[in-house]
Order: sequence, then structure tokens, then C-alpha cells
Amino acid sequence: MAQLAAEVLPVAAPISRLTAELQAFMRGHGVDERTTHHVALVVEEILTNIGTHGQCRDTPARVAVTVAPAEVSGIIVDRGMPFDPRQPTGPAAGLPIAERPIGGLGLVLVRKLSSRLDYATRGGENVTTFAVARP
Amino acid sequence: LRGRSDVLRENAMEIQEERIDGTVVATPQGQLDGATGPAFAARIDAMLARPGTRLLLDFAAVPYIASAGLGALLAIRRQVSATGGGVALCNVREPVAEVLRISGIASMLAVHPTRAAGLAALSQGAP
Repeated sequence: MAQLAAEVLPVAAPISRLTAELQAFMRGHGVDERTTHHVALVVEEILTNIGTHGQCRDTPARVAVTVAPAEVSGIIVDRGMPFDPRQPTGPAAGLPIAERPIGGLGLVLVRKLSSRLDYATRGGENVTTFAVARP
Repeated sequence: LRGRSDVLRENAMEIQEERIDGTVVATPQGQLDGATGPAFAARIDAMLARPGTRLLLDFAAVPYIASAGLGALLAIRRQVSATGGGVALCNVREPVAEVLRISGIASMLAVHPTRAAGLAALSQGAP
């Protein structure tokens, strides 16, 4: 198994650099285009949500992505406000998907594209884990 | 220290613009994400300055899209609807196309397999 680990501020430009690096890493380890895309998307949307709603844009989040034969998994640890990405929340939850605010749409994509998505709080940190199944 | 111009340049997305048979064809290159989405939307917004513009977005060189990019596409669609033009996508890579379908945007914005098909549909008044 191969792993890429990084710390990143949960704001747009550093997230973009990380997702580009992640995609190159996964392609370098033979991961297919779909899985590569969706892992990068899940990481971006969770980090964006942490930066937007977690009130911790100045505190780096820790990200690790692991390539395994059956799936690519990831763990994201942050010190922002507790938030479970598995739960649809807010007034937009009942809106048609394309009419939801972008933040809400991002988490819808996370839930739909992940084959596994878990969340816990440990020692004052949010721990989000996910996986995208490989074909 | 990195200046504002450095940040803007870093977040800029190269977009080739051409006009074919009265349709503006825009070909962005690179990730369409939270960093590049706003600049992408601003560039396309400028291309739509003339009411009634027909716009074809050739996504052959867009390997990745996140929700910020989807938001930019929705904004473009709203603007085109307001000004009486047409907009469509073509040459969309499969992972990006899957995200368009899952998000529901593929039902709001026509996606054509080739540039020729997109140009033909737009020239006939269909998106």
C-alpha cells in the first residue's frame, strides 16, 4: 500500500494544490481515472467545508490518502467546529439537488461518491474517514 | 511574500476562446475547483457580455471538477437564460460527466459528445 500524507490550510489555493498532488500520486500508483477524480473531489469538499463552516481557516488540517488494491481510502483530521458530513443539514436539505447552495452540493457529492464515510470526534479533533471503491 | 497578482495568476485558468459560425467556443484547461472557479466564471461572464450569445464549453482539457466549478456552470446557465442565448458542453471526460449527472446539472445543461454536435445543436437554437 502507498500513502500520501500532508498538512493543508482549508482554503481554496492550498486545497487546489493538494488535490493536484493527490491526483498525480494516485495516477503514479495505477489508480483509474474515476477513482482518482472522486477521491480528490471528496478531499476538496470536506476541506472546503472545514474552512467554510469549521471556523479554522488558519489551522492546518491533516490529510492522508492510502492506495489499496480494492479501494483508495482517506483520513482528514481538523480542529474546527464539530460537523458530521454524513448528515444532511440546514434549510437546503429539502431542495432539488441543483438548487442547493454550493457547500451543500459538495457534501451531497461526498456522500454519493464515497463507498464508505465515517466521522468521529477524538480529543477535540474531528476525524473524517472515507473510501472510494476501485473498479 | 506573495502578492495579490501572484495569487490571481496562480488561480487563473487558461481558457482558449474562438468564434465558430457565430458561436463562442471556450476551451478551459486544468482543474475547475475552488481556486479556479471564480476566475473561470468571470472570464466566461465577459464572453457573454453581448445578449443572445451562443456559448459552447469544450471540456476536453478539464480533468477535474468540484462543487465550486458546478456553481460556476450554474451561474453561466442562469446568465445565458436571462440574456436569451444558449449554452452547452462538449467533450466532457467521464468522471466529470458522472459528477454532472449526480449533481443534476446534466439535466439543466446540454452535454454533447463532440464539438461538432454541440455547434450543430446551438446553431439550430437547441442547447
